[in-house]
Amino acid sequence: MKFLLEELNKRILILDGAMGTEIMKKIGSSNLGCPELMNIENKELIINIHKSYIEAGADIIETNTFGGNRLKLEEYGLGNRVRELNIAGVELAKRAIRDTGKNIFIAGSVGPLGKLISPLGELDEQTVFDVYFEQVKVLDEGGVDFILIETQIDILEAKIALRAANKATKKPVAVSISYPLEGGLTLTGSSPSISAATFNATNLDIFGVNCGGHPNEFVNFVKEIRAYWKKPMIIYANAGIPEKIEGKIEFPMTPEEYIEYVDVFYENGANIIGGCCGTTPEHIKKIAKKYKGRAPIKIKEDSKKITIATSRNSIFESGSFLPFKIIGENINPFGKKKLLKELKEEKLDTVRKLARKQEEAGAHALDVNFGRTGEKRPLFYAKAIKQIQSITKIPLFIDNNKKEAIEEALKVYSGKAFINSITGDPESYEKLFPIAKEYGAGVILLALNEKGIPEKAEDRVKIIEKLYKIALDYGLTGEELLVDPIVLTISTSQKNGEETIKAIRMIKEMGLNTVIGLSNFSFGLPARDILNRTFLANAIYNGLDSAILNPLDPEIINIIKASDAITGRDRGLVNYVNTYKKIEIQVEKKEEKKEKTKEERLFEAVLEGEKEETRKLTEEIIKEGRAPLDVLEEILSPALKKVGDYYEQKIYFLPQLILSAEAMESASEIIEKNLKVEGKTNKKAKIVIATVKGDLHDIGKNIVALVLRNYGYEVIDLGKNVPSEKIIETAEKEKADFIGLSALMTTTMEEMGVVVNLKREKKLKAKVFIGGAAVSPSFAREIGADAYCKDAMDTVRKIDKFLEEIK
Amino acid sequence: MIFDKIVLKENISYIINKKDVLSILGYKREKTKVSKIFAEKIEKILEQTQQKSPAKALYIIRKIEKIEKNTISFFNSEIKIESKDISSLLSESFAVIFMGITIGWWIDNKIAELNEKREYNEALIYDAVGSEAVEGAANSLNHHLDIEARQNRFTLTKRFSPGYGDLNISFQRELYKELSLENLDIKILPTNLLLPQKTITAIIGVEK
Repeated sequence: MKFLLEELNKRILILDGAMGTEIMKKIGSSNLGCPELMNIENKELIINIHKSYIEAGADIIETNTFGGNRLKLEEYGLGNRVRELNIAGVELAKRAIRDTGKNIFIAGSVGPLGKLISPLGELDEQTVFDVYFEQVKVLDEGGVDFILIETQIDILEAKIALRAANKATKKPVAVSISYPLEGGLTLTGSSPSISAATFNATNLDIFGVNCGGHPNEFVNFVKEIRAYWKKPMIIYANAGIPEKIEGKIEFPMTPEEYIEYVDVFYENGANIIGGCCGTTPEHIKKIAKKYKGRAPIKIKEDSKKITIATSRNSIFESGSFLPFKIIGENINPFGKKKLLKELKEEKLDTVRKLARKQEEAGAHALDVNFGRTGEKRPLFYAKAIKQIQSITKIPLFIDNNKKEAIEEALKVYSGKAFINSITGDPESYEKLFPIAKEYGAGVILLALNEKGIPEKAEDRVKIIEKLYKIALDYGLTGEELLVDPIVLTISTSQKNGEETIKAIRMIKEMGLNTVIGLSNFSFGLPARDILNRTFLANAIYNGLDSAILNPLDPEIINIIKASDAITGRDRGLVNYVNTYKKIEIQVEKKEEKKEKTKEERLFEAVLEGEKEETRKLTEEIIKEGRAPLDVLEEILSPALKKVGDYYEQKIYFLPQLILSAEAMESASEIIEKNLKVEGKTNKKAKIVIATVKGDLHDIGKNIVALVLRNYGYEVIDLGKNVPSEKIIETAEKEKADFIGLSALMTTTMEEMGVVVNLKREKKLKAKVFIGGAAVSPSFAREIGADAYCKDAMDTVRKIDKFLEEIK
Repeated sequence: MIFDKIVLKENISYIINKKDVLSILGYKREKTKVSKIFAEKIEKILEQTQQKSPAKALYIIRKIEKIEKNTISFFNSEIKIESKDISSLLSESFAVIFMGITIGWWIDNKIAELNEKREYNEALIYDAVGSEAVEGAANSLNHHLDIEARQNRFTLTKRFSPGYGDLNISFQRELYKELSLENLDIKILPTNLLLPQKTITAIIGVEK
């Protein structure tokens, strides 16, 4: 059972490649039907695919049971055959292994349910748990070596799947998540870091990523995951982005191309590497040849000691060198009659308002305390947690004393919540540590025990030392812990402030992170805000990392920002400067769009630099019968001219000019394509452009090339650091009308003179224009260039003028 | 202040002057109207750069041996500065700080990647932000050295970089050797350009 995990310490294991796309290749996608049914009806096909991977060198093959859960099978009317189809799937994997005589692992493939959990979809958490439990239980009985919960699209679903799997089997479990959305997010908006941080707190053995996205995006995913996930990592990408070729879906990436990404996966600490959709035995063979048996890269011990909470869409990180973290305290009926009344009636209007307001005010997390109502009504409390999560992005602290309520809340919580709190009383920790581990939650350790709150800091720290050891025994780490040394009001003893501060310092020395409930400090005194703020500033200076406080007090926020600046938590003073010395960028106010024609919309799309819109509208207008050249001359060119005018009047700054140029380029491609069909060309002249030898700066040159293309020139861009001989050879061969040279540095601009001289020797007629930071009109004259151009627009104007003169 | 010993400074905090970034990009207050997308993009890039590009620097303080015919020589080092501008800058100085500072490869890689993708508008913003970031980092180090100097009752001259005035860019190579800048993962090209691009070398005079 533990065998797999031991192997992973020693060597890289090669996972097989795609099953689905391999099946489709053999029988055609239209004949597919239910893939799991083939475990009964087309056994040889499945066995042969398994064998092809084993022979390619795979150390792990996946059962053909990806969609083998009750809900998915139900779509084919096979919901009652979960057991039969999964067992058959495992049998085929075993047969293939027997036939080849190799000793390798079988992963029980468990895919997503294909529907979302409420309120995003229709499923409830219990159904999700039951469906996963059923499938894993069968795979376990069938004899897989571990469970691979894969291609997951939502972290809550994946977390429930993991819990169900851990209940259904004692074998290792892997979870692999997919990030198909732009910017590398799951379907429900979680990033790889959020996912990895969430699962790092759970009872999970292997975590990773598969499917969705191009392998080059995986490079970032892998790095993000490794920053938060400490145990073995599984990575298997698609063979590129599928393209539709003659009606068939094809994955374009060859094994040679794929292996280059595998190298990066390996270097960043992958332990299991294979392929997902579109990968073939050839891909796996290539990976196996290079990586089979190789020792994995050791991951560096992380010494940063950061405490982490997550929600679906954000990550809360607290620690010594990080900005101070605010946990909003306002969802608490204590002293709030209206809220208390609503809670008793199980209404959540005020709760929702308070949640939103605190998030807007800058809270990084919210404490959710329903007082006794929350303890007595676990299901209502859990429902509230779910609702708050659906309207805010930040993590939640489950502030409740009853085990049942905490457990119900954690069942529906998406991400890694925090339990507030666990005390040194065995009644508390014996019940709550196991729950924290099972649901992957963090906890606040509270410095009191069954005997009460010790007066002295030293005695409070003793309780924490004991609790810390116990927490470690339960499998929690510092990442899951925040310590509350307890704040007592100074109206009872003026020593209280000092003892808390002292305790904070001692706890920081233990390497743990700290939190307090601030408002207690001033209880029973007038002008409480003044005391709270002053104490907070002192506490932060002495190492306090976070506090449960009222974020709606703007002065508190000021004090936190200033304290972060003073203590170096706000690195580079970024937050401080951004808050208090905001240089506002004037944002253009958009007019409401009235009904506009497509032509008007295209004009505006170029002006706004909307690439996709520009491409789409150009295509549509041409399709509707307008001549491509007409579109170019009547709409696109005038739009571009307007952009140029705006730029010269400084209404647009450079990035806007370029964005419009990029949009224009996407339209030009379509115009050109259509012109080619008509056998015409619209090029004004041919230009060879390059950054000269020795110079590696090419942004300016790229921009000039882009803008010139926009204005109807054919541009041959030779790149950067280009030898003078090559520039001249190309100009000669291509019969260029112009040569454009760029150089940023005084040391490299001399090379421009070399190009001009070479041109003269070869007696080329092409005119030379030059540009770049160090270059000047006098330098242009000095070396005999025909023009100095100060920027891209200037280049267009000057070349246009040259052309007119020639005419 | 320690003399004749190379000092390494890592994780230097710095402020990126947003105004200057905007002005590099051609932004004119009161005139330019920026779309919301761009405003957000610039904010995001500023923040990201701060996070991903920590600055690190090497510097060394050398005592001046003599200044003669616009050539400055130093005790315990072969390095020589030949420049009229620097000779006048250092006329009151008894020592010179040689420094090299970089914000590293991240932004170079980012710009290359964007150029590859033909996302020039974004590449341009990264480039401008990077320039201001390393400038900000150099200012930070300068502040730090200023305070240290003041505690010793010294004052510093303004900072001067190769490529300005009559101090030839080739002096970067001398500084590269003097500071062993390869230790900051900096490379020097035959044309005396430094990589990563967002790297600055400079000299500062120390006056009594």
